[in-house]
Amino acid sequence: MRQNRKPKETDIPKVYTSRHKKSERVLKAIFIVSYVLLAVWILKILIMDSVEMQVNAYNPRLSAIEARFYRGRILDRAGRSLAIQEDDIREYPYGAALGPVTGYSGPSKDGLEDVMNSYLLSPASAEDQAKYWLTNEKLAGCDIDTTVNAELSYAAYQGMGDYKGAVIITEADTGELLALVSNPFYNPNSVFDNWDSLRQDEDQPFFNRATMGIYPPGSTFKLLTSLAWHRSSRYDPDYTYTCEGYEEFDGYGMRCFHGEIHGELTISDALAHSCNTFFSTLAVKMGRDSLIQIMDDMGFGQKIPFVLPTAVSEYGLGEDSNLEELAATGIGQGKIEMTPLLLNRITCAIANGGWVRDYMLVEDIRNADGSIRENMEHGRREPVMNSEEASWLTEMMEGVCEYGTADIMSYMDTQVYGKTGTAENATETDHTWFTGFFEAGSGHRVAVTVLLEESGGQYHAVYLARDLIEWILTYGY
Amino acid sequence: MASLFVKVSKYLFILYILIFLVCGFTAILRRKITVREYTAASNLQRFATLLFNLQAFAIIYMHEAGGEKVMLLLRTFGIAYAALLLFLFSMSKLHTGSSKILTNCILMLVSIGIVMLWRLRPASCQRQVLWMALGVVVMNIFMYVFRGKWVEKIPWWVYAGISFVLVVLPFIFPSPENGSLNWVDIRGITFQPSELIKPVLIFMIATLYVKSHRISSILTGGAVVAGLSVVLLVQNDLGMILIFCTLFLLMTYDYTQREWILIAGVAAVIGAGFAAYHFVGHVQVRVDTWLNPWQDIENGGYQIAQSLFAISAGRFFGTGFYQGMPYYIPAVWTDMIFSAICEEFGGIFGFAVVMIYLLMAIVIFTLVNRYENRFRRDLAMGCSILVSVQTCLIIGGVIKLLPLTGVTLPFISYGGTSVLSTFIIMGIVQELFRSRSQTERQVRDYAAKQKAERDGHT
Repeated sequence: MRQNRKPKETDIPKVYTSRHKKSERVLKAIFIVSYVLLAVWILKILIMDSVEMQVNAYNPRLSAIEARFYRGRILDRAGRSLAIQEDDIREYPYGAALGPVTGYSGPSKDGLEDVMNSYLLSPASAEDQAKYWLTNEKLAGCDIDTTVNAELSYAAYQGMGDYKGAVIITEADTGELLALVSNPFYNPNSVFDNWDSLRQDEDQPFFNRATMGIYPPGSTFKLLTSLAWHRSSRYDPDYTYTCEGYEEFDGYGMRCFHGEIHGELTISDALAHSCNTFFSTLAVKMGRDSLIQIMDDMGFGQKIPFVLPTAVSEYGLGEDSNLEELAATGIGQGKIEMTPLLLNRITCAIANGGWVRDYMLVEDIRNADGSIRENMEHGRREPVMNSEEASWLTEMMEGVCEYGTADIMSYMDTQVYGKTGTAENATETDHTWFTGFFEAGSGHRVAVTVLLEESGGQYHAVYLARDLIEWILTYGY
Repeated sequence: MASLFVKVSKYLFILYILIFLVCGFTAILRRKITVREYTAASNLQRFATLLFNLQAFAIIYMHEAGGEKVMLLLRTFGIAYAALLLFLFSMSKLHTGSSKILTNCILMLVSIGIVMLWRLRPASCQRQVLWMALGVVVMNIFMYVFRGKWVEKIPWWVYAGISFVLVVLPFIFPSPENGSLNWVDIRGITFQPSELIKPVLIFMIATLYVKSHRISSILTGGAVVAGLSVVLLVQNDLGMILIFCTLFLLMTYDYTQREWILIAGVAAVIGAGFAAYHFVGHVQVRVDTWLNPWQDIENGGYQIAQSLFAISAGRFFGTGFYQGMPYYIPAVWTDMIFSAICEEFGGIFGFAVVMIYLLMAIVIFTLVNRYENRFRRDLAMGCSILVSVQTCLIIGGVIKLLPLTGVTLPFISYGGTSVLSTFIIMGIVQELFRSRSQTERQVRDYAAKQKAERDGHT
C-alpha cells in the first residue's frame, strides 16, 4: 500500500521568499537615479559647455585644428592683405597700424583673428568641406573682407607720430569703418617675440584706445550740451550771453580757454569759439536731468554694438552731483568719460541727419575661390535725433570750421563740419580732440574722429584730421 | 578611403551599441517574455558586439599594418578573443542558467576596453589581456568551487584574515617602481592586492549577515572595514576606502532596513570628506579642482580640464576612432579612459556605456529580489553595489559631477588586479544565476511530479 505522507517543509525546493524588502527598492532607485544623473550630465556637458571648452586657450586640440588649415586671409576694402599665412608664419604687412583690426594669432589671439577664428579655420568650399571630413589634406580657410582702407589707416597711424591716441574714420551712412587706429599698438608680426616687454609697457600697447579707451570729451561735448539746450523747454533761439572770460559756479571758477574773453555770443558763435562759460551757464540753466537725458539718448551707459570689444562711456553725473560738477560736465569735463567710438557714432548721426547704423568692420566672408560665403548686412537705421536738430548742429559745426576753432578747415576744397576739443585730464598736458564730417566726393559723408592724448595745444588733432581729410579727397577710399 | 571608413565607422559604432542597449533593456524590462524572444535579443546583442569588434579591429589593423607592432597586435588580440570566447563558451555550456544578458554586457564592455586600451597604450593592452585570460580561468575554477555547499559554512574570520593578509602584503613585498604603497612586487609580477579584497569583503559581510537582527554582526563587520581602512589610509588608497565603506554602509542598511543608517552613513562620509579635506593635501586639491578646475588649470585642475576638453571635443558622435587627441589627459589608460571613449566614440556612445552599467546593475538586482537563500542574496546585493559604486565614482569624477577619485572603471580601465577581481565578482553573480535557475528547474520538476501523482490517483 502506498504511503500517503505529506511532504516535509524542507523537501520542497524554494527559490523565492514572499518578503519584499524595502531596501531593495530604495537601493535600486538610488542606482538608477545615479546612472541617469551621470548620463544626463554627459549630455549637459555636450550641449551647454562644449563650445566654450573647444575654444579654451588651454585646450590642446585648438592647435590641431589650426595645423589642418592655411589660415584664411584678412583683407581690406581694396583687397590688400592685412593678415596672410605664409607657410607656418602669419604675416601682417601693415603691422601695428592695422593691429587694432587684425589682432594677432598664436597661442592666444586678439582682434579679428580672435573673433573670426572659426571662419579663418573653416573649410572654404563644399569640396573642401568634404575633404575635411574624408581626408587629412591641409586646407585653406575662409578669407575675411573688412571695410577698412589699409593705406588710409597707415597714413593715420603715421600722422599720429609719437602721440598716444586714436583715430576713427567712418562712412557715416553705412557705418563702414575706414580706419580704426590706436597708438601705440603692438606689432602683430612680433608680438610673441616681445611678449613680456609689451605686457609690461606702461603705454599699454595691448589696449585699443579707439574702442576701449574712455576719456573726458572736453569741448566736443558742447555738441551734446547744445542739443540738450535745443531740446529743453527753456530753449530760445535768440538767447545770447556775454562772456567775460570768467564765471563762478558755487565757488568753482570757470575760465575760457587761453583766458579769452568772447563778449556777447549767440550759441553758434559760442560753439565756434568754444566758449566755456557759455556752455557751463547753459548746463546749469538746464539742470542735471537734461544732460543725463541727452547722454542716455546718445548711448552713454550702453554697449555700442560692435564686432570687437568696446568700453561703456560714463555719465559722470548722478543724483548727488553738485553745481560745480554740472557746470564742468556742460563742457565735457568733470567725471564724464567717453570712448572715441561713441563720439564718432554721434558725429555719424549728425552727418546722416539724425540716424546711425551699427558699425561694420567685417564686410563679408569669402571662400578661397573668391565666391561670397556669408555677406554681412549693414546695420539697422537707428534714430538718435530728428533731422531738424541734426541740421541745426550741422550748421553750427560749419561755423566752427569757417571762422571758429577749426578755421584751418575753411581752406579745404570741401566743406567740413566739425568740433574741436581740449580736455584737461590727470596729466599736466591736455588731450586734444577733433570730430567732424565732410562730403567725401563718393556721394557719402565721412566722419572723422581724432584723439591725441597729452598733445597740448588746441590744434594737433585738427591738423591731423585735416591731413586725413585731404588724404581721402586726394586718393579716395 | 581609409579615412572615409573611419568616418562612417563612428556612426556604426553608435548604432551597434544602441542596438545592444535596446535588446538588453527589452529582454530585462518586458514583463512577459518568451524564452525564444529572450534568446533572440541575446543573440542580436552578441551580433552587435561581434560587429563592433570586427570593425574596431579593422581600423586598428589599418593603423598598425606594415608597422613593427603588427605581430604584437595579432598576438594580443588573439589572446583577448580566445579569452572572450572561452568566457562565452563556459557561460553558455559549463554554467547553463547564467544570465545571458549579463554575459553580453561583460563581453561588450571588455571589448570596448581592449580596443580603447590598444589605441591608447598597446603595451598596457598586452598585459591587460593576459590578466583577462587569467581572470576567465580563475573565474571558472571559482564558480565550480562555489557550487559546493560547504562554501556557505566558512566562518567570517577566514575572510577577514584573508583581507588583512592581502592588505598588508605591500609592506612585505613593496614595489618600489610604482611609487605607491599599495602595490606588491613578487618576483617581477606586480599587482594591487587591495583590489582582490573586494570579493572577499562581500563574502565576509554576507556571512556575517546570514543571521537576522544581530548587532554584533554589524559591529564585527564595521571593525574589520575600519581596520582595513586604517591600513589603506597609510597606503594612501583613499578611493578604495571610499568603496569599502560605501559597500559596508549600503549592505548594513539592507541588513537592518533602517533609513537612518543610510542618512547617518552619508553624513559620516561627508564628515570624513571634510576631515580629509583639511588634513590630507591631495584631497584638498581634488575638491578644489572639482569646484573650479579653471582656477588652477596648469597644475591641480589640469587632469579634469583635459578630461572635459576631450569629452567636448567628441561632441555627440565622436571624432572617430584614432582621430582624437586623448593623450593630453593624464592617466587616460586607467582612471580617465572614459573621457577618451567619449572623445573618439562620441558622447552618445559614452551615454550608452553608462546605460550598459545600469543594465548590469538591474540584471543583478533581479537576483536580489526575493531570493530565498539569505547568504546568496546578500552576495548578489554586494556585487551589485560594488560595481555600481565604483562605476559612478569614476565616471562621475571624469565628468566633474563628483570630485575625482582614483578608482578604475570596471572591465574597461587598465589594471590587472582590477580585471581579475571584477571577473571573480562576475563569477559569483553568474554562479548565483546558475544555481537559482537550477533550483527553479527543481521546483518545476517537483510541481510536475506532484501534479502527475495527483493525476495518477484520480
